[in-house]
Amino acid sequence: MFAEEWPLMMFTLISQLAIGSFIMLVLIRSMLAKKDALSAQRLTSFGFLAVGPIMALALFFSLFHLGTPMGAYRSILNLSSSWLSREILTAGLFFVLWFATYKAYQKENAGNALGWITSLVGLLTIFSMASIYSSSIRPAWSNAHTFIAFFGATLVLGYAGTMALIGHIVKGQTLSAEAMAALKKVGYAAAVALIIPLIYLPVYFGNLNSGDAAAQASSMLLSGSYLIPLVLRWVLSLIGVMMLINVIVKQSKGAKTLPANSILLAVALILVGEFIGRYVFYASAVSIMIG
Amino acid sequence: MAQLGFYYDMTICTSCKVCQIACSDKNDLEVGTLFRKVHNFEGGKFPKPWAYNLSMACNHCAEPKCTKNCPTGALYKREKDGIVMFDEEKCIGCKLCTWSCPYGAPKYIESKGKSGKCNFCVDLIDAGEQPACVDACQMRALEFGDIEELRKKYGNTADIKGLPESGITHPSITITPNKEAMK
Repeated sequence: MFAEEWPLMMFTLISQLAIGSFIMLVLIRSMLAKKDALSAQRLTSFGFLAVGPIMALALFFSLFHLGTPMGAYRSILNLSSSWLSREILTAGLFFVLWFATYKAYQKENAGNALGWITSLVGLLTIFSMASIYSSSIRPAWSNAHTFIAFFGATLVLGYAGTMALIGHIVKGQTLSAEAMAALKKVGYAAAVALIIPLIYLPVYFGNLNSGDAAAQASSMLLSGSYLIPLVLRWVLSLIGVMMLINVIVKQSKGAKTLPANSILLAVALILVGEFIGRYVFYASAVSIMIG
Repeated sequence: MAQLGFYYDMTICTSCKVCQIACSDKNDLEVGTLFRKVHNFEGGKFPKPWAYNLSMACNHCAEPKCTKNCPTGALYKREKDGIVMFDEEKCIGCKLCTWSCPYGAPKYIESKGKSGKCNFCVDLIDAGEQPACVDACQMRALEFGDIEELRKKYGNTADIKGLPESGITHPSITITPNKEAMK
């Protein structure tokens, strides 16, 4: 499975990391804009720079999925009905708008509107991406679960990415109380984004179990061969997100610095958790077709 | 002309697979890639075992998911007879058609980096001939024509055991099933 689908695993994970990080950075910037404009700029400027190359890397990986990569430009020729065309168009648009936003945000007093528009286009990219899988003939994918999982992963990966980027740039520096409060808030948002797919998991299993033979086969894979990876995925993701929130809560009461090592460890746990989750997503999808 | 389709008579098919071979020959397919495949189903136990065959190619669906999902428009329905056509020039090898077809008709061909599928032997049909599979069948188990005419003649059965639900894409096929294959 991995030999065949690694480009798509990388593309979906890394583009969700880029889009999620962008959204989290816009949230932090807008929360701090009035109270502490200096921190808003200092915390987010490196992050806003990094999102573009990360997105470019994701798009680069997607080329390896194609049998004829030189024809990639033709992937946007069927916008009227193909979610794949829409995904590539919105992903490209996100990349262009990222550049505009990055340029605009080099000025401290630039408004947040452009950031929100770019975030919206990013969310449309994720929606299109999930729609590709949900319009397939694999019951494990043609399900609300795909949307919940992809949007959840976007925000959780975004939180991890943002914390890593901010942690890198403010190493050893003392942050303002407002900055710590903003980081705390995006942490809670990420926790909600992590918990909702976990709560939905029993519903997902229920749908698969009451579905056709292919759906039941997927359910058996998830509760059989892929049970240990699935459990590991949730344990790692939960520990990672809780560790990050714990660091911020502790530090906002105390020294108000970000300990680089704990942050990197937590981010690594989240990335590995999401990676395993995505692996299971691809590996457990059984097709309804004959032979 | 309306929608073209296939008729398959399971009750006389002997699974000789000459349709499969004629198709592979006509389309010059490499070993391992089949645009038409004869599937074999078996079950029951002594003294009442049963078996049936199912010859399947592209069903040129009325509402195909492959043409809808294909990002380049390489897969499209021909206006005059509803054949699901494939334009190899446009295909980029994204494999989404193979995730979209409930019948597994489009195949990804690694050596080309592109997909391929049954096009109803459109060159033969346009020259007034029959598709290679229909021509080759020694039991006359395969027919082709206006699907509405075929349904009038043979009934309208596209839902049999082993096939996904016809409601997904409305395939242009009708089958005379063995009793074990009936839903």
